[in-house]
Amino acid sequence: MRPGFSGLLGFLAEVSWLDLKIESKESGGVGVITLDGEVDVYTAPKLKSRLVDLVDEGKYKIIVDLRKVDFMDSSGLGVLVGGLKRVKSHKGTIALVCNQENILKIFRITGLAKVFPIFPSKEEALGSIEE
Amino acid sequence: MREPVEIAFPAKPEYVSVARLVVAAVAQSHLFDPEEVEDIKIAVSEACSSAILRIHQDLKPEERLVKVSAWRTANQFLIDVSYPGEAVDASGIQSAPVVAEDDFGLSILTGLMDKVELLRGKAGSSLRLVKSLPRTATIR
Repeated sequence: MRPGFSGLLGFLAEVSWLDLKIESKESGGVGVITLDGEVDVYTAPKLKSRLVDLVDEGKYKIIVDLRKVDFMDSSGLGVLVGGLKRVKSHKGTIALVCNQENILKIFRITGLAKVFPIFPSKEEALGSIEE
Repeated sequence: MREPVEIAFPAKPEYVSVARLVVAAVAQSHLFDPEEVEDIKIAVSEACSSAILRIHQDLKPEERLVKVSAWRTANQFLIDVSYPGEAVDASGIQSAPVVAEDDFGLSILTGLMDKVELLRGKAGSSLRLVKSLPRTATIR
């Protein structure tokens, strides 16, 4: 193995991929989705499905907690935008909980930081969405 | 002398994470800081996801491969993501019908990397991503 890559296998072995855990709860009529793992082209459909389910159940105020998301790219952004369009057609909203710079960065780069209300804590997000 | 690390994977979404992890490990070895490595991971993920969407559908399964090559020069880290399919044209308007996430994907690519080139060859297309090496990186 080339010098400098001796840690590659160990690096890969430590990472659990192909996995996105999604937990859904209700809090005062607000649907709260907590994500744990990676959101990319492979796992984003899972999030989309859950958002669609919530809207079908009549939950138009939704919080998506991204604090345990290890990775997100435009696949996740696209799903969130799609979800936002769905809830907005019912006069609802999606607020995000995020405190990680690497994820906040992609919202800023794409201009979506101005589209989604983003809060550093779930309590602040709930407080805002219930108003 | 170019000494690339190369990976070829089936054009399926479940393998994109493998490609970005390999390139991230290579980037780490060239002394990028954690934030820069994360930027590179996201960029590779975007490029590979875009490639998967554009691979010609009439190819045999064994031909539907995305190839990722990562190497350094004296002061740059380059990543080529090649695939047998249509290129995204420079204006960002898709040449093949793909999803709207492409607008976000291109914004992210150009926002995180120092240069993004769209190359078209006989065998297909490739996205070349370029990131300047950290000043502390030395040639090995």
